[in-house]
Amino acid sequence: MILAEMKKIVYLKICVTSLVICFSLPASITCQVEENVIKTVFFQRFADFTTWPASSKIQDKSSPFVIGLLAKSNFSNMIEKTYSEKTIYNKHVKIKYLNNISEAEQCHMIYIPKLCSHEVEDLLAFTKDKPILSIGDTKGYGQMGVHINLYTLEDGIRFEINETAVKKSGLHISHLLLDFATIVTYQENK
Amino acid sequence: MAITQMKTLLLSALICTSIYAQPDTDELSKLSIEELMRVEVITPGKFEQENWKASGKVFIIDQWMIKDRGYKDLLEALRDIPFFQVQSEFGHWTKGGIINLRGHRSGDSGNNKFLVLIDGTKISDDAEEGLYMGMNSFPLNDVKQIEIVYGPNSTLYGRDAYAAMINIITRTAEYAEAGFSYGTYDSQNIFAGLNKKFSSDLTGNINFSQYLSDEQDPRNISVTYLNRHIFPNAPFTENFYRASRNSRLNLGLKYRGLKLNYILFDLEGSETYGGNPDFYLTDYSTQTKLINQVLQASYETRITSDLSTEAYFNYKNYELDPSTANLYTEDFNRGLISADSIEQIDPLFGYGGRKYYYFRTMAYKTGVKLVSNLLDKLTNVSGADVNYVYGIPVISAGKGMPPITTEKQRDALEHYIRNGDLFTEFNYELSDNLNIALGARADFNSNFENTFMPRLAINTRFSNNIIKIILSKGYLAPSITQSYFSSLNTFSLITPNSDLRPEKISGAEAEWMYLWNNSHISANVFYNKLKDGIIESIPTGETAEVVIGNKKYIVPVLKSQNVSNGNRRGFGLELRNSYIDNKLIITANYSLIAGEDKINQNNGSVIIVPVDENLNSTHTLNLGALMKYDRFSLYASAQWFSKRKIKSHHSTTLYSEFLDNEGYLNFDPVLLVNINFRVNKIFNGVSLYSKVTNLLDKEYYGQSITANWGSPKILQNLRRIEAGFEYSF
Repeated sequence: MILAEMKKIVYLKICVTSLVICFSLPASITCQVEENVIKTVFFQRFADFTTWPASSKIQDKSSPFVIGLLAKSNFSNMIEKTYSEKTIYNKHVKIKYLNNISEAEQCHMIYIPKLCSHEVEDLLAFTKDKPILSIGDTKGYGQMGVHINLYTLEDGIRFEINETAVKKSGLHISHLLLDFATIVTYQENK
Repeated sequence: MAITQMKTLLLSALICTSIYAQPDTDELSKLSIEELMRVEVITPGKFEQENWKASGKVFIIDQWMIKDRGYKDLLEALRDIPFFQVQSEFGHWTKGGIINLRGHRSGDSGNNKFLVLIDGTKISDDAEEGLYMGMNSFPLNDVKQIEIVYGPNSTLYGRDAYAAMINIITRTAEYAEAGFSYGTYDSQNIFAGLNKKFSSDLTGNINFSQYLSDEQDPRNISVTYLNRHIFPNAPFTENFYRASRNSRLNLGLKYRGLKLNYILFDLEGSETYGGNPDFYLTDYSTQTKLINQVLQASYETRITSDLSTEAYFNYKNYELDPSTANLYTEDFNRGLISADSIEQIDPLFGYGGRKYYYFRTMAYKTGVKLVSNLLDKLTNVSGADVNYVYGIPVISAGKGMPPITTEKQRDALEHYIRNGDLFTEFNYELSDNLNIALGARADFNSNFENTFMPRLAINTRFSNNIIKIILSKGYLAPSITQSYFSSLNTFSLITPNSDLRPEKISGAEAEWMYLWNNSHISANVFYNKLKDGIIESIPTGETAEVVIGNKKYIVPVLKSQNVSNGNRRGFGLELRNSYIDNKLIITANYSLIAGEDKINQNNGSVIIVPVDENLNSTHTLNLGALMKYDRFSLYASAQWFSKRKIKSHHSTTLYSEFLDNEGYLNFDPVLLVNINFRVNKIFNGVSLYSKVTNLLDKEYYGQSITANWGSPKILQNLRRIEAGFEYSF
């Protein structure tokens, strides 16, 4: 009986040890990732390949890197959660919910969700010559003038870049990022 | 002391677990842009969008479901979904995977009541055989998604979209994977696939998979073996092998809008009695060998921002290997007709001869499709195609006669069919919440009457509800075998009937769905009216005197006829709900099927056969639970089918002992429980899985055919245990 009990304990130890080892293995990406999770990570990648002009005081480490959001949503919550303890450009990240368009001037990056056309046009008209990197994920936004527009293709995330709009804003995007993008232009001459 | 140690270990495990359970973004942040673009994503709301857009009841099986549930082939995937019932896993001539759908039984020739497509290309036989391509012939390792659209769908997809359309969509994202599994009865699955983007314009893919199995333990005298009253004498009763070998090769190339694709299915199945372990070189056997090839070429281009077009050409060659044969005990030691060619093909022919079978379908199809945005919210899909089909029905020269191997023999048996069709469907968004689809199709055929198939679908949504109403028609062309097959046996003379008309179906259907977060509940009702149903091999009322060997027989004359009208109706409920942040997903579906066939008799009377007396279970229930934690997933499912029965012709044969007093073959209700455990990407892309099918080891039966040969009662899948790995490069 004692022997049986000892065997049982040894067996349990082996099982639990195996579980511990399994959980301790190097982390690897699980099979499926929700789309919004990947999109939030792309924000940092885009910033890594973007250069802000000196006038934007991007090098001032005492001030935060500001991401502007227009409304509360599941995706905005995910952005907040992802960047709450991260840095971009070696700057602490601050999330700012915009009450009006003019507050966008305080941002280095702005995420534009699906809005009515005129709301998007008004926002882009205000930001077009300012070094504020605009990111969207709605079909057609690239052609409207959003700098980087994310989309899903064949179950993977892709992005399009409106190079003309980027140049007008004073930002510079590295060719290393442009190489992965689909380059789009404005629908109408602006 | 031991208890303290155990507590310590458990606490360590918990700590490790909680450390490991960190946000996904931390891991993803370490990836490069290119690596991030390769991560496969799931889109929230995609299920809702796909259901909203579809103008029919749709069920989608995505690649995550395929992996989590351990589906290896299409048969396994279809088991779990509403309204499908497995009629036989090991069909006539050992061919597997025959299913019934919404009370529509597959014909004696196989799965012919629904259309199977791969990436939009018809894979179902163009001579309407549905023959010998069991649902277990379709492996799923390179599949992105399976879309099942219920109901008649002939408007967009043509004939054969009678009860449903199943479209298997292959993966297009870059990947490189390989895998192997081993299981009970020496079952092995092996696959390897690669999809490579060489440049922005050029993509290539290659995919191979093979399934091998004894399907049972050859060393034991199985129930199936015992059910066969006709079996050879010793020494050929030493072992009983029942085996399958299904292979599939897929090659594809895409350059800008041009796509080329080649698919080869190489299928083999046998039942072998004997001491020879090489189960395809047999002492005594029933053996089927089939090679199906599909070549697809298409070119797609956008003409304007509102108009795109696709031109396509498909060539298909589906062929039984001429060595496909039955061997009959009555032929044992009988006199032979010998020929050099026969001895070369079959060195064991001298034991008594075989009855060789052959069939072939060659089809050439070309067409064009236009997709246009006519107005802001009005789109149209239109097209036309022509199909040239050269079909040889399932044919045999007779017992002891030579196989059909020469073109001269085949030319004498071949039939030529031309088919042309025009189709169009308009889709109009009246508002964000109301969509109407209206379409029609006209088919013109050289061998049977022309058909016209209209379709109307109305989709509406409000709050979290989607409601659909669908009215549609479909048809099923008579198969080459139904029209031209002839066969002489000691118990019947089957004669051709080239005057067969297409079977027709009219459908009305309504579905309601309520969605919330990643969950949904839905209810569905349908009614199908059937006309000109073909019943195969029914007595004409005449008899014939025939000579077989040196004996005379008086046998009934049978032929396929359009003698059946009837209906199918049903109701279904589905539920999907997720808990604990999507870590536990519960799925359930219940299906009720009713209806009857009214079969006109030669004497003017009508026999009414209810669906539940025609090998369909009235009630089916599928339950599934998927538990996911990090890289682990455990899926458990239970399937319950109510009783079913069928009137049998075997009341005067050796199999009469299977029948009840009224001449019915009865099948008891069955509960099947399956488990799949999976660990994803443990190290360097290796995933492991282990699966138990029919955990409770229930012995249950199916039936493949109602003809007078072979056992009408076929043992279905016994408990199987399987383990395997997949490697993503």
